[in-house]
Amino acid sequence: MPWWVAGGLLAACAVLLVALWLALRRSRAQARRLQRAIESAGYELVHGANAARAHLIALEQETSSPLSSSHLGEIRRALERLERAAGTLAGALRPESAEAPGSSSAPAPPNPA
Amino acid sequence: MRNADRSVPFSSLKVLSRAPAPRITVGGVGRRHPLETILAKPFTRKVLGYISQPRPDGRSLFEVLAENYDNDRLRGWERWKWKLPSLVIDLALAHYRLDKELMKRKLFHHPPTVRALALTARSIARYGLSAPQRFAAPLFVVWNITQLCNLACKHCYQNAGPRPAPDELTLEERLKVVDELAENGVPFLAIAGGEPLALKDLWAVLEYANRRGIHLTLATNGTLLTPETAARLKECGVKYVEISVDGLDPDEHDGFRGRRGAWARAVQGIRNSVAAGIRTGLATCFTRRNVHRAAEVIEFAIGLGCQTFSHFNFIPVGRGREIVEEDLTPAQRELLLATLQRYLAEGRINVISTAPQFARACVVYGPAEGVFATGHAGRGMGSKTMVLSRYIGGCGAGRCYCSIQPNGTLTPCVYISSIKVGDLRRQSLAEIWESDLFTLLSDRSRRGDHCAVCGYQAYCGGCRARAFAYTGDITAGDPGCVYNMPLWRELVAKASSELPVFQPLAATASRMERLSLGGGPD
Repeated sequence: MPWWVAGGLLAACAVLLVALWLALRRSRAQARRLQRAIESAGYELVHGANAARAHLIALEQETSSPLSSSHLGEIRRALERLERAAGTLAGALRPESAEAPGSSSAPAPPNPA
Repeated sequence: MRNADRSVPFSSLKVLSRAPAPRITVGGVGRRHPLETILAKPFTRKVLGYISQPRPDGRSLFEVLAENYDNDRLRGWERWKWKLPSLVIDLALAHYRLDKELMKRKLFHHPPTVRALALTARSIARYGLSAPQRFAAPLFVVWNITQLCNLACKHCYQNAGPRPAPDELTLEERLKVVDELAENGVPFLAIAGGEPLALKDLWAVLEYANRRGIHLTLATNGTLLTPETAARLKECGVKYVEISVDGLDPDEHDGFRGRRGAWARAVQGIRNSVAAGIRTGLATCFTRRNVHRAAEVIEFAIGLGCQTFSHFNFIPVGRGREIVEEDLTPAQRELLLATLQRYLAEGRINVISTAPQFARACVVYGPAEGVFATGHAGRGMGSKTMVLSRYIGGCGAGRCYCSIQPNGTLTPCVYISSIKVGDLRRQSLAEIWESDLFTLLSDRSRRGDHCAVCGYQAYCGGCRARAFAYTGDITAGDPGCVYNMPLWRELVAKASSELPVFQPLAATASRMERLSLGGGPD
């Protein structure tokens, strides 16, 4: 085989390997982002749901109490967390989510307040 | 009747009489730290057992290593001998990007922390890694050192009064108790009462405990805390003073505490403690009378310069049984916990609570990288602390914490003073610590109601004192938790079939008096 054919094949292989490596790296980064997003969303969904449940139980107990509005406020906050988690998850599951305008590769930071 | 007068032997305790309830909480999301996998390995347990085993001089290899790490006072051969281990630690600190000076000050050269870590290592070696962790000796002891008190608080769990109990320990016996704690590697001791500052032997006990390397804190009503007393506490090595103030209304506080002028003197006591440079906390026991002013009380504590706000979870025991109708409903407690969590997250003041649900509240109401409470111990940022709070595990009664009564009897908790587990006059702490009751309390799978199935079981475990006070079964669900609302409803229904728990106090008081508190406790 002439040297330039072998060299060309080698170069093509090298280019292919680099391309593969880049694609793999990108897909790994995407997988890591996805994992972080799922974990964060899972955390928010689980604990947000438990918080909403706690205050719903409390509200059922105290329908006529002046604290009803406070329990409603807690439930509203918990629901906001659930919505935020759902949004984060939806954003992460969308292809190329990191590049989408206004989106971030990191999960949306939940706001406890 | 005084608490110590009535004791319930373990064999006659009603346990596991309540079945698990249907699960309400969603579970399954718990961060796992790589260290957990390492610590769970049998080889690691062997290594931990070796380095934490007490040597002939009473100290473990780990404690000796920590003391000699980068120690400028070492001379000659001793200095060279510890060079290599110090270098290895330095490399590890650099690898994990930890500040060497900070780690030296807060960890390696801070004997109570070293002792706590040695005890943790010994516990993992003995019982394996478990969430929550069962400890080989108490991590934290509250010693009600005397029954004597200059006040007569309505909610006093100790039934303290103007005279000490007739069978209280002598000074010599008290010093022996300190020895017992030190020899078992107990790192943290809180002195309470009664009113500890009313006890003349207090100073000798504090000085001795300080010499034995125990981290000391003191809970007081503050009325005897003069500038001179505060300075002396600091000299004796007391690191934290907690003063009880029930709210912002002096008349209400004085009425609750049974003495005019108590509020003003307690607040002055806080000022004196802050001025003396001692870490100071304001403690409030919230009931239906004052819970609506929780945020104002915390702001007041911040204004006084307190570094910590401590919530005392009211338990109807001792004189507190007479005001059971003032206990918060689970719904009220949940709102209070949410408020406390927000103050903790805000960071203007540290917030601690004797309610085990507080660790759970930090998970429920805060983000994954937020601030977490590690039981009664303190706070920390991020998922590592969240993992830690699972091992500290909320209620520590008989697992990592216990109480000593004025006469030397050992009980699972200050609020469970009627269950005498052992007597330090006749038994060693190690012997008592292996009791069947403590084994039962350390096992979270042995719980009733929603505490049996709760997704936050490792973080909380439910307040055993409240379960025992209300149901007579120490393993029952905690009726103060919102997830145990059916149990609370059942208890209230026992008092009156139509009792709405959220009626104004005056309307409910007479009917709540009929609420059955079970047969066991006082």
